[in-house]
Amino acid sequence: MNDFITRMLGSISTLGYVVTIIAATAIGWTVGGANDALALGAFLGLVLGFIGATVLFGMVNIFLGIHRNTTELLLIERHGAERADALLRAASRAPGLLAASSRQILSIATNGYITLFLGYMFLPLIIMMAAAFNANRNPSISPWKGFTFAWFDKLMGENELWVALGNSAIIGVFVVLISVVLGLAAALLLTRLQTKAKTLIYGIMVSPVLVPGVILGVSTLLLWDTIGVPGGLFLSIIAQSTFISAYAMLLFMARLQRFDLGLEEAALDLGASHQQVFYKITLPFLRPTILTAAVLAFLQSFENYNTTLFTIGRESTVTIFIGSAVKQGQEPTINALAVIFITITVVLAIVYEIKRRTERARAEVQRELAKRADQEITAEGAGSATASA
Amino acid sequence: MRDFVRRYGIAMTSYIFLACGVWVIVMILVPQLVMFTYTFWYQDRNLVGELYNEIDKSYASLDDLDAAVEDATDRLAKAASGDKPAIEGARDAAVQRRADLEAKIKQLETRYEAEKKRIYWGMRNYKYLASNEDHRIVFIKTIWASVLVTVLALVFCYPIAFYLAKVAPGEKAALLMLGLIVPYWVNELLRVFAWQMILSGRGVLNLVLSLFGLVDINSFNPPPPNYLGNGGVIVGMIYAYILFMVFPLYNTIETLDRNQIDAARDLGAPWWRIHWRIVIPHAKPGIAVGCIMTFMLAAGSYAVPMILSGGRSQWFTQIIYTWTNDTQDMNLGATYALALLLLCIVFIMALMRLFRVSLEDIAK
Repeated sequence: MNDFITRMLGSISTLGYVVTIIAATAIGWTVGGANDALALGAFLGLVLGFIGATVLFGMVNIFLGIHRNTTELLLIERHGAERADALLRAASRAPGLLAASSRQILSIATNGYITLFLGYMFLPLIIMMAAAFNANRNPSISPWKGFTFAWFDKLMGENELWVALGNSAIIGVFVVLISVVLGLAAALLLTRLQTKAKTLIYGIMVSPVLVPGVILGVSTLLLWDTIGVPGGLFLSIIAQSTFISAYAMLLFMARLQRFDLGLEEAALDLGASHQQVFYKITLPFLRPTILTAAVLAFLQSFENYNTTLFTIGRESTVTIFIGSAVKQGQEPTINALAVIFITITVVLAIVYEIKRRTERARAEVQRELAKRADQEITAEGAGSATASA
Repeated sequence: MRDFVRRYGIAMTSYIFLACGVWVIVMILVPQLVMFTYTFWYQDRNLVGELYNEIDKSYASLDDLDAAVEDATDRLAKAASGDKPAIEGARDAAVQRRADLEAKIKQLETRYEAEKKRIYWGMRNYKYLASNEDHRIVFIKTIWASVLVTVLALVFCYPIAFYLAKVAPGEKAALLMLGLIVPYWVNELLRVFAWQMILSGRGVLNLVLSLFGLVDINSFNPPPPNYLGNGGVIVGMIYAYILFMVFPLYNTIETLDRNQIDAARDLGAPWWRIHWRIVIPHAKPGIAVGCIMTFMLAAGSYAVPMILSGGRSQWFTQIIYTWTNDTQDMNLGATYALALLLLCIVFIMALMRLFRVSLEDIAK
């Protein structure tokens, strides 16, 4: 049954590709025909059909990956890549494996789906970045009126942006301080609390993450409005901290779950003071998480729009600045800002990736060295054993 | 409590309880409670407005009377002695009327101040929300649009998440992950703005269509069609929030032991049953979190409608913003926000029931 379905899907997807493309071409032909552009319509249909088929079969194939991959990996593990490939080819008609041609088509579909998804994620961003260099006064890539850096100059000259950036930084720093302090306290409370109230308290504490930012903004505004505090930086700090603390708490809780409570108890038994225990045991264990939480909190605060919009009053932050600029539909200065932001993100991501890779490589080298040393010791041990014998 | 003191000492214990207390009570519970009470009272804004107008009008006629008095004084200086008594009479009458008016204004102003602070308890806000058909339609649209966004995001992200977690070879998975994290960290507003550049009248979509002669992008009358509005907002929401589905799914599928899949396969389960019986049940918390986040972000999105509605379609968050900022009717704003909050709570409860997961599972 299983083999049958697997095989069927292989053939169906091959057939399906052809059928979908033909059908889409036919549709494209009719659409194009109405506009006296038969060939172009057909081409459009072809492209759409290809995209549609790739999405469909790509998805199917990822699921099929369960079969293909485990079998292949097993063979490669046992016989090496070359031999595995030969075996797979030979076995392509054996039950449980797809014919080589179907496998190839499915693999194209998978890669196609992933490529399309990434294209979908990146293409709009690329278009937006390209428009930043267009001399056209409207943010657009057509008509292309020549390459220019004018919008970057103009962006740098916007005083409002610099004020907004300053405000965002102030809010971000305070939000980091508050949410790390609150998040840590909440995580310590929840991981050690052993009562029935725990679920309730936990539910209340994570609720700000699960509720739209608009509501947090409105409710914070209303509370402080009744006391007579108007919207502004202070209110934005409070409103943002309400939900960013919950993110920090979740990070700390995840870390604390791997914490051995026995360490604290042992230290206390050995006569350490509570302060010593916290500063010498708990805090060092949590240090990497504190850093992560701080970075994440700052980014969350910097990116936040919904909650800030309701609580910022007459002040401005970077997101508020972007929001009003987009609403007014001005010159492509926002595109220039996007280029800067996206470049920073990409650079940080690449740095992170490189760091991750070097760390992994280092770990591998260390493991290899340890293995070799272990072997040497064993060999020595065996040698001395035979010598003594 | 005693356990806490024993373990952490007095200083740490008080820090923990104080911080948690401030957060839970001052920052989470009390604001919601205040918002809740706001929904039960209102102010007579019509009366306040009428009083305001009346005061305004009275000040205008006060100015008129001032002018009349001045005029009479001028004429009195120039007039012959025989005319003087008549003019004097007119002037005195005007002065008298002015004094009366001033007293009335003072009265009106005290009343205005009182009315401005006066609170009427009642269900007006709820009645307003229930009886306003336009807003009800917007609310229902918000529900189905958010559900649609959530379902589509789930359908498109599940394969990606599964591929990332279990199919892709290590290096490729890491690169793909990087490719997803970058757009995830780009500001929401900028990502939505990118779609405005695609969907607007002289945008990229029309540019592509014009290559095939389907649209004339350069015509001014009629201008090329744009794709902003309800459809544009939904497209933008999917783009903006789809990655909030990928990562929770990936995190849970990643923890699934490969041996379970292999065992099922060896025992003859077809691929769809492996997903239905093994991967999806394991990924339930991730699916729940992904759906909750996507739904919540879509239902509470202000940025996407602001940028992609093209002024043509109205969304619930926009109404809330209008109440709290433009017209300053905080009570209606609070009521509408409460409706949105209840919608999210109902959705979360329904999902938790559907997937049989608890809050603790969710936040892993």
